[in-house]
Amino acid sequence: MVLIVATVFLLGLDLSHPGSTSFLRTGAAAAFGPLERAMAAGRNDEVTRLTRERDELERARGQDAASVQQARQVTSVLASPAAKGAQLLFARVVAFTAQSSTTESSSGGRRVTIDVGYRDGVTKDLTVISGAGLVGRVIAVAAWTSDVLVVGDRELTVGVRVGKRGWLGSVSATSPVGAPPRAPGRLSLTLIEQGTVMVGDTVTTLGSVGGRPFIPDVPVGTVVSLDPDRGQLTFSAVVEPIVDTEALDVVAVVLSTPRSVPRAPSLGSGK
Amino acid sequence: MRVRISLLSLLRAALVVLTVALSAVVLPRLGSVGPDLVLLVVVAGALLGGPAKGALLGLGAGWVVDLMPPGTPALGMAALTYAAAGVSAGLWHRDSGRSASLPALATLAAASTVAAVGILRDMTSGWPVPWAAAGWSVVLTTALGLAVVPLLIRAERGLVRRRLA
Repeated sequence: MVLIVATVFLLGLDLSHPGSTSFLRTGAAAAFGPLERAMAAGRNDEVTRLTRERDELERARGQDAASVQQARQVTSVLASPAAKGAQLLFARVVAFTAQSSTTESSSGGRRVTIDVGYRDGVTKDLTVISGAGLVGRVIAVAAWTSDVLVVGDRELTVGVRVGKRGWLGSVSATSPVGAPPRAPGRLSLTLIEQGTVMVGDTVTTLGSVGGRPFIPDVPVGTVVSLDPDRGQLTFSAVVEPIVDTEALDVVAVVLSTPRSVPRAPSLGSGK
Repeated sequence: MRVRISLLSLLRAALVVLTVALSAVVLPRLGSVGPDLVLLVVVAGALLGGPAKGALLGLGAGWVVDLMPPGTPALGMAALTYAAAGVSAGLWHRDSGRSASLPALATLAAASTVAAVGILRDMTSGWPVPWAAAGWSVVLTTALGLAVVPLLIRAERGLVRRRLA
């Protein structure tokens, strides 16, 4: 009974003062993070000598394939336009929102744990990207693992530019009032100003001050359909995210550093 | 309620941590909807111990779910949900007579409780309710519970009989 009351109290504390209970999560992450990392690394079968050899060969082949696959993903991240000139910290996704809280993960709670932490230089509110585009942002950091809020989570909203004209807007998983329901995995785009958006327009991040939580010009997705005009104040559309958040493996944390070199002023020619 | 730290409770705690880690690391790579492994451990304990023990076990297991990275959005939500599931499974506890249908019924009750809490939360928050995913998860968990819960109960009874726990 006492425990239930204490849990209710903590739930209230967590909901009313987000972040006030982070010491519990940090402690638990320090304890459980290594376990998750060890389990994600693979297991060692010991049956008989031959089957073991066969398994080892098979595993070596699988690991080769996996490392080739990972090298490809690393290359694609390095080659992506958003990564140009940025310091990247590569990481593997080791855990997802637990399946045991099934209704969480199926109804839009999308978090992942990656295998880098504050010992590697990760801090809160850094951008996480993959080869295709935006993955999410770091929300909690432990010694060797960090938690990432992934695009598609209900708590994540991204400031974006849309199309060639660069209309300002925001993308989130919650659909605006009055809009038709979205298919699972789709995002909603809401324009801040009056603008025209076409199907097929690309959506990229607007960027934040100091590159936190989002660096600019990372692809988020493409516009797949426009919501009918029913007299709502702002225009909205459906966006297909560019990153498959269900199959994340190699990602990169962008270690953004604030600008230190002053920008040179230009002289107007006056013609 | 006095809680003795016995070999059995240590084993159960290890099993809970193991299943939560499995559901965070392995299950999401296999598909978007899977069975609730943690719930099966809670159901087995609740069937043997009754509603109060079920609630305590559920609360503990839920805390592990809440805290295992990446964690749940609201700390304590899973703990209370699993405590409720532990009570609903513990109501099927019988002192005598072993029916084959009891584990299935208890798992169904517990899985439905977890699903109902999620659906209620989505409805009250104005989010779309994933009916199909919730239904599938209940079906999968009950199907797995039909096989696994009797095994867990038998293992626990065996440990008690050999005075290892």
